[in-house]
Amino acid sequence: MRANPCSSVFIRGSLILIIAFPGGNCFAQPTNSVPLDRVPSAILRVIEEDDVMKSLAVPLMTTVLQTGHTNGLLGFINDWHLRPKFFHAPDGASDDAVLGLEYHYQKSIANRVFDETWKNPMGLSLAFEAWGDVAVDADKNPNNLLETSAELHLFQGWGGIDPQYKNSEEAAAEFQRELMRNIQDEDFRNQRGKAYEEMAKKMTAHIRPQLFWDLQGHGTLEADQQFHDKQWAYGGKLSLAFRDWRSKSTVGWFNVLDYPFAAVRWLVDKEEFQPSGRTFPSVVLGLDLVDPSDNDSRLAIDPDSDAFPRGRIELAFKTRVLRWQNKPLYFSAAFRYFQEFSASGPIKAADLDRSDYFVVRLDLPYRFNLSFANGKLPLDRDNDQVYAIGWALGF
Amino acid sequence: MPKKPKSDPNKAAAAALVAAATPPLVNNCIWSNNNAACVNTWFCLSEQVLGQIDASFDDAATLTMPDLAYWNELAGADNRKVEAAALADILTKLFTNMVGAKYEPGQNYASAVVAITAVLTDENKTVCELAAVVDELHHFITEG
Repeated sequence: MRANPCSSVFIRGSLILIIAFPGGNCFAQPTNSVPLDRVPSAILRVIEEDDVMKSLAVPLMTTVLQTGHTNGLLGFINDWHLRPKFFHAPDGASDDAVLGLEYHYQKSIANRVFDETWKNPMGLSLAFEAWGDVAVDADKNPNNLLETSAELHLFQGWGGIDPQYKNSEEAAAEFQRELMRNIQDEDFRNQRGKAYEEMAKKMTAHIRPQLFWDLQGHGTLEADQQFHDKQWAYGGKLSLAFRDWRSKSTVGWFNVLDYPFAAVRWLVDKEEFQPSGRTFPSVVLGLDLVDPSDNDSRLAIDPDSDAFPRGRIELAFKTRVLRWQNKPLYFSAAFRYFQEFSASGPIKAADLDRSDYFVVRLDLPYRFNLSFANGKLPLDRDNDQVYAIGWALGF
Repeated sequence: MPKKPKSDPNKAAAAALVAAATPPLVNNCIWSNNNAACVNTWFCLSEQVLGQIDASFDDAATLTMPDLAYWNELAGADNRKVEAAALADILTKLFTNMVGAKYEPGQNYASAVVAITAVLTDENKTVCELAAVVDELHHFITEG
């Protein structure tokens, strides 16, 4: 069972054309990439027409995937998000692309609030989730990892709105009526004009920094798509997101990662130099106890089938770099680090005790982007490094 | 006075046929500037409030979740989920604190955060569908 992080880039129902440059010990192309010479010229002409693709894809997707919830079974089917994908693994026996399917199912079973009178109520949620990629040919599935889990979440958002602030019912009602009146105005509907600016100012006047935390306990089955290799993981995760949603905030000055991009916005977009409080990186910390007794690939290296502890830290960051023809261009980054504690000698020798994966992407005009990925994920044995220039069309 | 352009009955019939054959863009979802959930959802997500969309009200309905500024294509599922949950938390707080919305019977803060997060993390969902979920969770003052 292996997952190739080189091949993990996929852009929402998009056809992605990628030219990848090797920058290390492998030459791989991101998932779903199709070499330019394999795409018929007629399709290349059509994909430039966003409207044509939308007119074909949207009715099809709404008809097939968005059926009404007329009974429990249909509702269950409708909760599954299925998406066809192309997998392309040039390091395999053949570099032909194979068809596959991405699935994701998420169901919230129960939700509770501890005390609704709290300014920052604490919620409890029990959920079931399953996701993964399945390919027609498993050997050509670069993301051959299916995860199925039951989760218990305890979560709370501290702040967000000034805890001292209490809007009166009359004032709230007047604000709502004013909003419904203003939305009839064309300028307001285009986020322009004095009325829009004044209402936005009123709406954000009592916004304060917010820390959202989610403490999760889970039991997860990790498996390849043929269930040859599988392992159970039990543990917990703490996820944190800190935000100050105001467009100008003092707290934003602590977002040091955004300084270079604030400088670009200041230089190119002529904006005030202001690191954003909306784009602090989110953090996920986790500790799992992993049972490898059914993981044949691992047992072939180390016959010890005792459960082992595994820690993880995951970071994600995205910020606007500038606007090009009134469209925002973003810089995105993610880092994932996994560490097995007290790993045995054979596992360390096989370099399976630790894995990290780093990926960045810079949006360019006309839907192009530059990306760089380096590292590997758990259950992946190869360390990959890929520079890529891509082009994406969402539909 | 300019002449009123003649309408082509063939074109009109063809357009009507296309319109009839095309399913609604988003299932069970009507985007209207008379619907408080649509208006509040768009306004709260707009550039100068939470900075998630810079589209006009009319264009926002068909935007999908990856069009929101928060959506990070590279983020792991857990990172995306907590970022979406933070956005869901501030959305429901704005609705209940600033515009006086109440939770619909059977709904509460936890169900609101969970349901809004589920939509925000679904790349196929549109802003219109997000507004439909917001509508199911909250009762806005102007709804009567």
